[in-house]
Amino acid sequence: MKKGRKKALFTKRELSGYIFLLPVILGAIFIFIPAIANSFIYSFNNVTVEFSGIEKTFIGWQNYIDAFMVDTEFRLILANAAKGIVLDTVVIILFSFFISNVLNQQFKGRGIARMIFFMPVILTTGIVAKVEGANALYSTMEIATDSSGSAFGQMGIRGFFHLESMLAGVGLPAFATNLVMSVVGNIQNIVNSSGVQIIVFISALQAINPSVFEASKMEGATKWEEFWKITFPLLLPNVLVCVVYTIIDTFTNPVYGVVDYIQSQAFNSGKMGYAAALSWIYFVIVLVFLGISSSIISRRITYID
Amino acid sequence: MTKHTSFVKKKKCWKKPQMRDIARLTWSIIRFGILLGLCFMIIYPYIVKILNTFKSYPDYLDPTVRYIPKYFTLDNLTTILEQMNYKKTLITTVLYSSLIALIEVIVSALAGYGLARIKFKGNKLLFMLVIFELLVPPQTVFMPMYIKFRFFYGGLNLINTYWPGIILACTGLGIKNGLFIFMFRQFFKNMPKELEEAAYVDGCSVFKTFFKVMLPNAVTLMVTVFLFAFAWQWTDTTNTTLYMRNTELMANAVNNVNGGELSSLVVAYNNSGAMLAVLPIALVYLVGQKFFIQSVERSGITG
Repeated sequence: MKKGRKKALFTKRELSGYIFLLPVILGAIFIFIPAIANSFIYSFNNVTVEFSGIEKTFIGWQNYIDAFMVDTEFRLILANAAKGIVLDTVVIILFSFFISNVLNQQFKGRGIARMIFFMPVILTTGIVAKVEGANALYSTMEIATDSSGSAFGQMGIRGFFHLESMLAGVGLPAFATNLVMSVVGNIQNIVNSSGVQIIVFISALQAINPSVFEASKMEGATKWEEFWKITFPLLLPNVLVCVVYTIIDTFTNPVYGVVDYIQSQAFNSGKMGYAAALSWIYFVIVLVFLGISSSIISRRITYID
Repeated sequence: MTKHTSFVKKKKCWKKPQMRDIARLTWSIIRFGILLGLCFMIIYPYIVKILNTFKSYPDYLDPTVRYIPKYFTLDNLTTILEQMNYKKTLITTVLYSSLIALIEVIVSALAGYGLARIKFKGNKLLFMLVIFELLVPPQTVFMPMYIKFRFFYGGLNLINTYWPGIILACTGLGIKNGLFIFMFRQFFKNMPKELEEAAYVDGCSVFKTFFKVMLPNAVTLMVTVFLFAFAWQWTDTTNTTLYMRNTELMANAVNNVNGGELSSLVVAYNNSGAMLAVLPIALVYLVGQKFFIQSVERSGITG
C-alpha cells in the first residue's frame, strides 16, 4: 500500500517533467529530428524542388565523392576555413585571456572598457556582420573606395607599418611572416569575437579566493609564479568552455566563406543534395576539432574543491 | 634568525616604493594605450559609418574628405529612411522581437527548470539534445527546414510570413535558444533545495512551486534572457532572410536600401542603413548593459 502510493507520486512528478519540456520535445519530434534526418538523406540524393514537393533520386556516395574529387573550389575553401578556425581560436583565447587579466585590475574607466569589449556580442552580429562582409568584397574589387567605413582593412595596418617587409628584413622565415600577417590582418575579427570569452575569464578571475594569493605571497612566490601556479590552473576549466564556445561561434562566421558557398550551391545552383553533403562534411570536421581540443585541455584540468 | 633577516629586508625595501611607483605608472600608461587602441578599433567602423551618412555627393568623390563631411547634408538620411520604410519597420520589428523574446523566455524557463530539478526518464537525453541543437550549424538543417516551411503540415506555405520565427521560438529552436535553456538550467540547479521542499510540505503542486517560489527568484535572469533574445532576433539575418524574406523586419529593410548608380555610394548607403537598423539595439545595450554583462558572469557558464 505504502509502496504503491509512493510510486504513484513519483510518476506524477515524472509526468510534470515531460510537461515542462513539452515545447522542446515537440520541437525535436516534429521539426529538429526530421530536419536533421532529411538533411542526412538529401546528402545521398540528387534533390530538386518541384511545385508539388521535392524530387529525390538516390545516388549513393556520389555527392561526397564530388565534393573531394571534382569540386576544386570547395576543397580550397574548406582547407582555408579549417586553418583559419584553428588559428583564430588559439589567438582569440590568448587575446581574451590577456585582456581579461588587464580588465581585472583596478583603474578608472574599467566599466566603460568592459562595455565596449562586450558590445560586438550584441551589435556586430547579423545585420552589421553581413554589411561588413559585403564591404570586404567591395574593397577587394576596388581598393580605392573607403566610403564603406569598414574597419582597418588588411591594407591599412600593413601599409602603415610596412610590417611585411619589416618582418622579412629581420630574417623571419616566410611561413612565420605569413602567420603573423594573417593574424594582424584579422585583428578586427578577433577583437569582435572575444566579447563573451573576456567576460567569462574576468568572472573566473574574480572567483579565485584572494587568500590563495596572500598565502603564496607569504611563501615568497613571485607574480610570474603566481600566474603559472595559481591563476592558470584555476582558469583551465574556463579555457575549455571558451574554446568550445569559440569554435561553435567561429565556424558559422561568414568570414571563412564556407557558409556562403554552401548557401550558393543550394539556392543559386539548385544542388540541394550536394549542399547537404557539403554541410555534413563541414559539421563533421568541426566536431573533430571540438573533440580533439576538449580532450587535450580536459586532460590537464585538475578540479580543486 | 628569521626575524632578523626579515627586519633587514624591510629596511632595504625602504627605497623600493619609488621604483615600484615608476613601474606602476609605466604599466598604467601602456594599459591605457592598449585599451584605448582596441576600444577604438571596435568603435571605429561605427563612427565612420555614422559620419558617412551625413556626407553629400561631392564629399564622396573628394579624396581630401576622409571623416568629417565638408558639405553637411541630411538628404542621404531621408532617402534611406524612406527606402527602409523606417517607421513601420521599426514598429513591426519591436513588436515581433518582443513577441519572440517573450516566447523564448517562457519556453527556456520551463525547460530549464524541468532539466534542472525534475528527475524523469530521458532527462539527460533531452539535455544532450538541447546542447546538440545548439551545436548543429544552421546550414546543415536550413534546406529541410525551408522545405518544411514551404510545404507545412497540410501543404501550407509559410515561407515569407512571420510564422517560421514564431514556430521555431515556441519549440525551443529559436536563435541560440539552447543557450538560454542552459542558462536557466544552471540557475535553477544552484537554487537551494530547501525552498522547494518547504513548498511541497505546505502542499504546493510542482507547477505552483515553480510559479510561486522558483520563478520570482529568477526575475533578473528572465530580464537578461529577454534582452539577449530581443537583440539577437533583431539583428538576426539567417532565419529572417531565409524563411521570412518579404516581412517588414529590419534585416530585410536593410536589403531594400540602394543608392543610385555609383557603386561606392551603394556601399555607403547599405552601411548607413545597417547603422539605422541597429540604432535601437545600441540604445537598449547602453541602458541595459549591466544585465548583458552580469548575465554572463552569473549564468554559471563559468562553472
